[in-house]
Amino acid sequence: MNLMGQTSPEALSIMEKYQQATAIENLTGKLTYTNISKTGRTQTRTLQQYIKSNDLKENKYSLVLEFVSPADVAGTATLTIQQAGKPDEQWLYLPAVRSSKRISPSKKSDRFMGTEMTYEDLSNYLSENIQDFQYTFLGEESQGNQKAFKIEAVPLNGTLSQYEKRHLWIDQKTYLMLRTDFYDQKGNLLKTYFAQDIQLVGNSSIFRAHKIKLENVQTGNKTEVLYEGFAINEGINPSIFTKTYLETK
Amino acid sequence: MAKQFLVLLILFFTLMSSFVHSQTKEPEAWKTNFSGTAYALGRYYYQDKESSINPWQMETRGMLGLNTSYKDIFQGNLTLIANANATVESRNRLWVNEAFVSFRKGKLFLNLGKQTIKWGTLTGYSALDLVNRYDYYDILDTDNERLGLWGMDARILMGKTEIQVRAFQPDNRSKLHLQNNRWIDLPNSLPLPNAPGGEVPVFYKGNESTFNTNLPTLGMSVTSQLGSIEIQGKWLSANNDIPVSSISLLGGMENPHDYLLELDYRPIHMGAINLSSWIGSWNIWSELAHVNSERIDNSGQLSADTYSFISLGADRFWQLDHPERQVRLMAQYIKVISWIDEVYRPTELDHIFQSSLLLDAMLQLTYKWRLELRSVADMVTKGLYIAPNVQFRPSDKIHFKTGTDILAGSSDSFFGNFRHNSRIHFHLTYYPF
Repeated sequence: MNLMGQTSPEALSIMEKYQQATAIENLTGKLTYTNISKTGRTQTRTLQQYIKSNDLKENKYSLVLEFVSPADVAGTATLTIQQAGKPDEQWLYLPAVRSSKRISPSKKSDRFMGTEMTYEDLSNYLSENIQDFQYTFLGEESQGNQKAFKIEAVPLNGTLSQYEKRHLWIDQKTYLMLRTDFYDQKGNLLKTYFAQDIQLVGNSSIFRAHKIKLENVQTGNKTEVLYEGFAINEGINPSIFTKTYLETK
Repeated sequence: MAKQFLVLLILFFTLMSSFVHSQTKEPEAWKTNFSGTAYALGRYYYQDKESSINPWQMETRGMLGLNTSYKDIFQGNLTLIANANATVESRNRLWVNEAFVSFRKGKLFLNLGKQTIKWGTLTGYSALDLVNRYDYYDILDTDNERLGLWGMDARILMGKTEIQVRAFQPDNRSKLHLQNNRWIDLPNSLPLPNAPGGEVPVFYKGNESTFNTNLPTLGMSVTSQLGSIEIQGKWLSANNDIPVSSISLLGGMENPHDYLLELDYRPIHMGAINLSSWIGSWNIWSELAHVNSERIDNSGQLSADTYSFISLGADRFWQLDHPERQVRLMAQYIKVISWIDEVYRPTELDHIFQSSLLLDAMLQLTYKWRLELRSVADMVTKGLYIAPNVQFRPSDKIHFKTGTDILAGSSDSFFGNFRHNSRIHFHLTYYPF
């Protein structure tokens, strides 16, 4: 945790462009994730996601995630409503009883749906709170064929994070994240995020990674995520983000 | 006849919607999905040495679901079930368990048609679940046995408050398999002072059932939030799904050989308040309910049955460091306060729980293997139920589960009374779509 740090103008400019490139008002799409354990066992799940910004300045969103497959979990869904200054509101819908239950809000360090991604990671990828970190520009470093800015992000005093620091590689063309190295509180490399298959979304001018990988170097476990059918900022029915909708969809 | 017509109408409507799918100018707005499950079930009653009932229960089931939808506005749903049972003829049947259409406009929502309903919304067992309509082929395993009711379910959302009104058919009778059933003891003799041995043999010749046809199954709930607490008020009025029973001798007392079982589905009314919130990572929930119903008292007369139901529960989910390992735990305490001065019989299904602790635990060891444990201990009647099982999932499409249901305790308890029904079971489930 950084008590006194100050972000350099160069790093701030890059992070502001990164924030603009990733900011969304609403998003729908399908994602398929595969968890791969160290021993090679796999688990694959497909989800339909609906995301709506509640407050762009406060970086708060509402999310509905509904399992599409496999059949035994299809229809199970979660609704999360993030609120500034309050705990998230979270519901779990169980199709077998056509009823939802309010559940305790997830902690930042909880793993999202059993993947290597935590709720903190998810929140940062929806939109990074750049006022909560000190960023240092470390230079330029290519990732594959793509030129990238390398930046170090250290949480500021008062920012709760499970990481001591993150190293970010931001694409010089699209300003999307190409890679992130996450360091645990002891300063050891914990896991690495890779973004692949960056393409335009539909007919829009918005770029998104259509494949991501997370590799936990400490446990040997991996998660791969494939995205399809993205629709960004094309409007979304706000009543989707209610318990009533969850129980009647 | 009217029901068959409605099923056909909804089937026609749903299939037409699917057909229109290909003709519409907005084909992407229409979606049609099929879902299906096939399963095979086997149970073996290893403690029942003296019964004439086959110790094996073998059954297969196929379930086909069809859902067609237009945007967020309309849905048509059909669920068709085919059942084949090796020993119980009344379980061999093909029926439409659900056939309903749904409409949504803004914050108004309406379901119309035949639907399965679970009245309680508590994570554990709710007093309102007393009225759920089931096929009671088995008393312990009713997860897939909910029977549809004709009617409507309407909701309106106003801010964070939801009002729900449900109105369904008066016929809320659960399906009972009276003969060759391990959970129902039909009398085969009746006391008669002048007869040799003081009793005479009697024979079951059938049953007649009655219920109040002017009493629809009505429910209403209001759900809102107060900070982190969700509050739900509920009211329910219906014919009970479980009857009170009496014997009607066909030949009078002079020749008491044959009898009819009279099944009377008496009205049941209840109100409940549910509160739910969380402490740390634990979900906490509670219910306070009051029930007015009727029962056959210990003198054989129909009398009022009034009781209150207090329940407190908690559940939690752990995602362990090992990526495949998960734990889920649910614990619930139920206390029933009876306002009548009688002890309930162990065969009264609405009174299984009196001062009970329910536990439900799951440990996922790997993506393929998980262990589950369900248990109930009643401190008043001294009854105990323990059901450990193991699940193996070789693929997403095939699941295998085996385990045992152990019933034990005092004969005054439901579980102790039916201890000879302890068993092992096997389930094989296939998801074709």
